[in-house]
Amino acid sequence: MSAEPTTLLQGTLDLLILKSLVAGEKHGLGVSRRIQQITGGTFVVKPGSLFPALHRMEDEGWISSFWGDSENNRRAKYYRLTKAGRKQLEVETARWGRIAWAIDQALEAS
Amino acid sequence: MPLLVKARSFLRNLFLSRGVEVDLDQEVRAHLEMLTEENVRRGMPPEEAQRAARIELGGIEQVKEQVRERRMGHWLHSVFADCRYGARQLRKNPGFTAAAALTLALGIGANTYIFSIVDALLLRPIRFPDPGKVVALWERVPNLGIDRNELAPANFLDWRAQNHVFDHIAAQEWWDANLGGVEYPEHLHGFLVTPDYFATVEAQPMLGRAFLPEEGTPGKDHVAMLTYRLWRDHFSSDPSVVGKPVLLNGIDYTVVGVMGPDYNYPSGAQIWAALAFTPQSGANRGSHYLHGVAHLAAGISPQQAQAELSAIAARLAKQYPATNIGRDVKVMPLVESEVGQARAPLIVLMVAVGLVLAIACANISNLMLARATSRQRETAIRTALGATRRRLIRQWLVESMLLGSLGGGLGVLLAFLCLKVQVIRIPPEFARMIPGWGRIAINTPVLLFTSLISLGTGLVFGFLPALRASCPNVNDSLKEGAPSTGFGRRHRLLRNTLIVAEVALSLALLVTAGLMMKSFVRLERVSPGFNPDRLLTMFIALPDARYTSSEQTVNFYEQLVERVQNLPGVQGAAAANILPLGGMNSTSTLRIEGRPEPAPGQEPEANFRTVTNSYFRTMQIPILRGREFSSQDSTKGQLVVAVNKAFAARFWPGEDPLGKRIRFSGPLADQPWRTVVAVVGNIQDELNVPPPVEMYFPLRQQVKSTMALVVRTSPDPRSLEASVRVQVAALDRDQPVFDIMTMDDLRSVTLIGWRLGGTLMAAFAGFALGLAALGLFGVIAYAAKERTHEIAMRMALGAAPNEVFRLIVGQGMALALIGLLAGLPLALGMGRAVAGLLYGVSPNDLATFAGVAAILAGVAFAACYIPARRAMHTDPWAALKNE
Repeated sequence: MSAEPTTLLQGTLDLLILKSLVAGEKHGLGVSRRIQQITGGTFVVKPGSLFPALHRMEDEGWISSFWGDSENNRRAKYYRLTKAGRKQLEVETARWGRIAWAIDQALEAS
Repeated sequence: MPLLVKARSFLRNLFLSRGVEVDLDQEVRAHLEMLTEENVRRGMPPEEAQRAARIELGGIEQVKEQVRERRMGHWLHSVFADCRYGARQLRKNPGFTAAAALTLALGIGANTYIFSIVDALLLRPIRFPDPGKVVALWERVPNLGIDRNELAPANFLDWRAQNHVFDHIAAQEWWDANLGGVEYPEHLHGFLVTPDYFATVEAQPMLGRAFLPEEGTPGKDHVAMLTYRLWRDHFSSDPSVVGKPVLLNGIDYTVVGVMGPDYNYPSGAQIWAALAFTPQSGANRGSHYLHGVAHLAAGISPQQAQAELSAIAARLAKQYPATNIGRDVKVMPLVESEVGQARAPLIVLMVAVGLVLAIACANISNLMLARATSRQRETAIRTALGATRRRLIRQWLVESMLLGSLGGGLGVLLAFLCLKVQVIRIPPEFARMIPGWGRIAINTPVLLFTSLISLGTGLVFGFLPALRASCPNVNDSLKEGAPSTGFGRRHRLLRNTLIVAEVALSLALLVTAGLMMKSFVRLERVSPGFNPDRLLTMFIALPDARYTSSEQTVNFYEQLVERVQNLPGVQGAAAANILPLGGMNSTSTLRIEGRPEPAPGQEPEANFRTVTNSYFRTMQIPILRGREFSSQDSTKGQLVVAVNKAFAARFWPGEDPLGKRIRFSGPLADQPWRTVVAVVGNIQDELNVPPPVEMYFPLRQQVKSTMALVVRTSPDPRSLEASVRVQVAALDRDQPVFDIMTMDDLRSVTLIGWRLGGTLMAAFAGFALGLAALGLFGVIAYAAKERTHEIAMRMALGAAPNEVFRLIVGQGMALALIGLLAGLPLALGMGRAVAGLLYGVSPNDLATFAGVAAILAGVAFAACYIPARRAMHTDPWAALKNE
């Protein structure tokens, strides 16, 4: 495994989960592994944060869930992005862009 | 759209929670298995793979709890769950639950009961649409210490004409109305009111109309307004009564309207008629008998009204110095003016029941702290399963609020029963006059109050146990067979502090109760100046329309007294226009012959009464000098007067009053000089104030149409009521009698505030004492149990049982002593706060304090005795073997 896992910024977790589901439906472990992969191992999402976030986002209507069979023929709960979720991803992406830009500005200031 | 999704999620989480739970459980378990498989694929041995997966997951139950806490509707859902869990806990410990609920029921019940009275009598005694706008008007004479004096008609008329601060102003006057034209004549408590009266108090009649302005002139004033009750009971709720005549005092009045059932001012009123001033009465500035009410104009504050009225009064004082010098006006909210004396004792009672509830809270807190100890394992398991500290605290608070609600429910029931069986009983003739008395009930505001204090109480007594219980040491408590050692020193300190507070509050309550009871007993012992035993009293008001001459009136009363005197069982009879202990009087300024004329506003004053010849004999008021009135004291003979001892001492100290002459000044100045023929003993008008200076006139020389008959009987005075009424009817079959009371009733009415205050306070203080004793017992028994090992050790090492006894009792008595010391300043403060309600006892009365402290110490000793005895009989070997 790679470098030390970094603590997630408040609100970043939602963005990462939404992003990880763009490519298609995934179960909890899949989401977790996908985030680890796309962040180059910087972020490792523990089940204790992942599941509360998934359930909350489902309550918000950004993602929906269904039971399906996994690669190894095991029943698992899958999540996929809804229309509202895609919109939310745009919102979160824009927000993150603003934050990143602002932080950059702050660091470049002498 | 998302809103819809959210609502659906909320409802699903709330109502389909079982399905949601199963789903979550399967999801987390599947995740764990996939983690394990992943590890196996990486080449770990199966057991190792499972262990690593568990570590990564961090515990199935914890993850599930974290998910639950983030869910929509989670809060409500978990509160339901807490309620169910709390209810189960309470059911599992029926002993604790019963004890706590009963304690709370008594505490909350007492609060509900007293609050229902406070609400009816203090907060909403009169239901006006806008009570802040309606003010009472009084005259006041600061120099003479008179704060509230009735108004003289001419003054009222000047205020009415000259003010710019009221949009309505009215006057009212007591009025005895004999209802005629019915089978049994009846006396009605009536009021004569100026036509603007109903507009002033913002009241509309339910039927008909209010009085018209022109009905305030003589000749047009024979119009009547009925109260709802009178209409219902005497006119069988007949709406066509409006416009019909009704016979009052032998005169035909026209009924113009009926007031609604909710209208209750002035309390005790049964009927109203228009008040018209004649040119003479309207010019009178010396007789004060009107009650003023006014309605503030828009934008005018009571202070502005006060300023303008005071300015008018100052002008009148300059204009009419003989009658008005030193006379100011008092403007006060009518509700405040009506509530008056009830306020102080009710506030004291409310504070007292509040303290009782505080003690109850401390007791239950203590019980719950003890329970927190025995429930350490439960708490530890819940923590291990992922419950956060906040969640644990909330669980405890929900449980204690459930307990509070249970106690509150029972308390309401208790208060309802207290009202139903009339724990406080007041003679109806008197209760009628107390504004709001008829409306004391468990109604919506009272229930609201009770709900609030029930939940609040739950929070208060549950707070400390919740804090303590929610931070246990998980590892220690979960170890098999770990002894329940309590929470150590801080825990014990907390429980001891609560006990000390209980003792301190009990001391304050007991001292207050003691002072008030002592006042009551002192007052009971005050001699009224006459013999109140077996005296029947009743009033008769002869109407001017039928008794047109003084002779007729005098004849009626003299014949009545004679007839009643001859009845079997009657020892004596007489009549007087004002009874002692009634709190009523008429006062006049006077002149004493041979003394220089005093400046206006400086004249001596005295009460005066009219009595029949046999009055002093019948009442057993001693004649100290001189003679009884006789039939010679008529209009033809010399005008005479009897004065009381206080009068003689004030105006003729060291001189012989007999033969001296006095006469009225002021409005009655036209009456001639009267010669003193007797000095009689003082009587009390009210038991708690020194007897006033008084004069008595014989009936024939000072005729009054309304008189009270007093009858001294051999048997129970009530048993003669019927035969006395027969004699009244025999003289005049249209003449009703009213306010039939025994002198004992009257006496108890004058003492009622002290009796009720004292006994209720004593009951509450007794309850507080019981609670404190129980609390102390609980803490000492618990401490003794905790120290079993130490005691067994001591005994094994040779300590005598007596020493063990002393050890345990000493611990309890130390707490009680600290409580007594802490309560001392509190008790002194309470004593000072009730000083105005005390009679003949100082607020820091040493005997009361010492007595109460002794009682508390005795009870504390008794509470420690049982645990100490038990500890004394510890079998050291058995106790040590059990370790």
